[in-house]
Amino acid sequence: MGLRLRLGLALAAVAIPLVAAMTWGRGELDRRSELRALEQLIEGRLQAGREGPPMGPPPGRGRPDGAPPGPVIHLFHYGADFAPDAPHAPTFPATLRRALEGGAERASEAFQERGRSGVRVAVRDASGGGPEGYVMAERTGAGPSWILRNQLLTACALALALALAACVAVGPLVQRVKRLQREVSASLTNGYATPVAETGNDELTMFAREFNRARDTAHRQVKAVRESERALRAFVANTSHDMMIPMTVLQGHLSALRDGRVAEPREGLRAAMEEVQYMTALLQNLSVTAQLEAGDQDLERRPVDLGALLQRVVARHAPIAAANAVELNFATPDGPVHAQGDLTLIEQAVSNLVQNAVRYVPRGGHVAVLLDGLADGGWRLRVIDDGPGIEPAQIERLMERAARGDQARSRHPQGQGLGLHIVHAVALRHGFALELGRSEYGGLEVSLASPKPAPTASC
Amino acid sequence: MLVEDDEKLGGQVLGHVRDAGFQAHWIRDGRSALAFTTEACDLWILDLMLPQGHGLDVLKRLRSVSDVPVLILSAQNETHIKVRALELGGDDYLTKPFWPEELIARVRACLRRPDAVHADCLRIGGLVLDLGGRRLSVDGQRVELTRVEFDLLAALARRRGGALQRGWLAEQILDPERAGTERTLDVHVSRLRKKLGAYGSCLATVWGVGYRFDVEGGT
Repeated sequence: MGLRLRLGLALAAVAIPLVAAMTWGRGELDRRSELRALEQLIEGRLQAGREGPPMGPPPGRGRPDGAPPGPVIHLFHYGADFAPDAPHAPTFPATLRRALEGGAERASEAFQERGRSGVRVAVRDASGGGPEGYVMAERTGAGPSWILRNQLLTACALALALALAACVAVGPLVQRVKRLQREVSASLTNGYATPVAETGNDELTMFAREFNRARDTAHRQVKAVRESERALRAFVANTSHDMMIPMTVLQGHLSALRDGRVAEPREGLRAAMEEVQYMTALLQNLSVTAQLEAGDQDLERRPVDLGALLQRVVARHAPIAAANAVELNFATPDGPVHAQGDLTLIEQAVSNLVQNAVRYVPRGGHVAVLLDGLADGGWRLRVIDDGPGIEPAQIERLMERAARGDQARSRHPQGQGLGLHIVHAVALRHGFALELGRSEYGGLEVSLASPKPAPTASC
Repeated sequence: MLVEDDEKLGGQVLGHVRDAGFQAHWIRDGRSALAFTTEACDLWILDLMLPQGHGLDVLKRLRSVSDVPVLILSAQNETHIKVRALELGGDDYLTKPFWPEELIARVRACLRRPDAVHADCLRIGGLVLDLGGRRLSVDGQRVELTRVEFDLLAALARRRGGALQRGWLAEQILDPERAGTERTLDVHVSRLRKKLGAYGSCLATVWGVGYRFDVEGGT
């Protein structure tokens, strides 16, 4: 059932009984008013002591032009036995007789008989000084019942007209609701991309506004989910791609070793180990990258024992360093030194720094990893080497690329690859200071340090 | 005690630790590992993903009965897993894959007892260093050392195997009123090496760091 029909029926269901009740109430008031008028007429005539002339044609006779008779008042006298004094007087109505015989002083009724309708009032008459009799006043013609019926019909017609008018008037409102429904449906179809129109300034506008707010939230979430899915697909695809090259190189080394095509088997094994180390670091870096790019999740900060971390990292890279004839040293302070942050992220960042140094220092070179506790409770970790180093201008470009993640997946020896991007991202996420410069031995020095403590206010 | 369910990997790890001179017993599942938690041993190498139980449950049971060092092995690299393992009492966490040398280095690190560092008397071969009495003897002969030389030797011997930075040593050992520098420290090291004779090679120069007391040095 449509809104318009529902509204019209509701209006009719309310209006018709209301109007009918009002009309009936009005009719009842009119009837009582007329009865009272008749009673006053009778009392007046009784006091006058004589029967007054009829105020209209005798009962039973219509008007000569055939029109319904107008209101006429007749006064009739009856004896104590309810016999009429006048021959043309009507028989005393039984209902009024019973009422008076029952002791009532007066009785009244509305009647409709033989084409006449009206009201009657009868009272006891002891005014003549003789035996008690009765006087009945009768008003006929356009009586209350006829008026009431007409009024009821008029009221019902009026209520129906009102209902129809409402059905028409609500038309524009129904059109707005239908348009809103179409817009909501369209928005749902295209993933909440389009808002609905917020026209006007009523409850429908408020509904449209609230829908648009909910739509914005849902749209952002849908977009985030799609972006996350796209990132995951890209991650899987890139990981597969990035693993293929070192895997192929490793297969080449192992194949050559198997076939005895390597002049120095140890060198072949060393090269194979290097590819395995690279693939391991790549997988770990890609896993950390996924974690870093997962979104704006809060970093879980816990105390990280940097001394123990450093020992693990050096132990991890010692075999490859030894295979490449690179001396890898480290030093930790006497007491414990802790950083606040994510254990895996920090360890991977330090591991990347050490790996880069070990990779790019030539055979016979040196790498040292130094951890210092600072006087302000902070810490500093340095990776220094005596390799070829990097020019200052190149360092600047390197840091820019690391920040942007450019060529982050590059294996180019000079590009530092994904490793430095991870270091930069971890430093940024933790608030660590990351600096690259020239070491005192001519190579590269990379420094990672705790955030500077906030200055305290002093008066 | 080695707990690892993968046959190939378990066999390799067993071989590595035996090649490094250790004796090892290999357990392949969680339920058996729980039954062995009361057995005496020096170190547990514990994988986390086990059939018939989880490595962390074995760790909890171990910690309820002993303080034996535990080296966790796992392919899971997530921080919350590592933190959980360390909070439950694991001493170290080694993520797969790993080189054999890395494994043995971590095993030795777990087995290193910190109590020995604070011993009053250090003996390395014929070298005896009485930290409380501030005396040194080499092959039974008393060797006189200056205050700086003794403090230098004591600091390095306490951290034997671990390098100490030159800057830190200079700051801690040298007399601040004499404005000693790292170069001054180098001179003291040179003199100390001479006094130690054959054991002078125990004082190794560590590139980029400073010095280290190598227990393998000397005769």
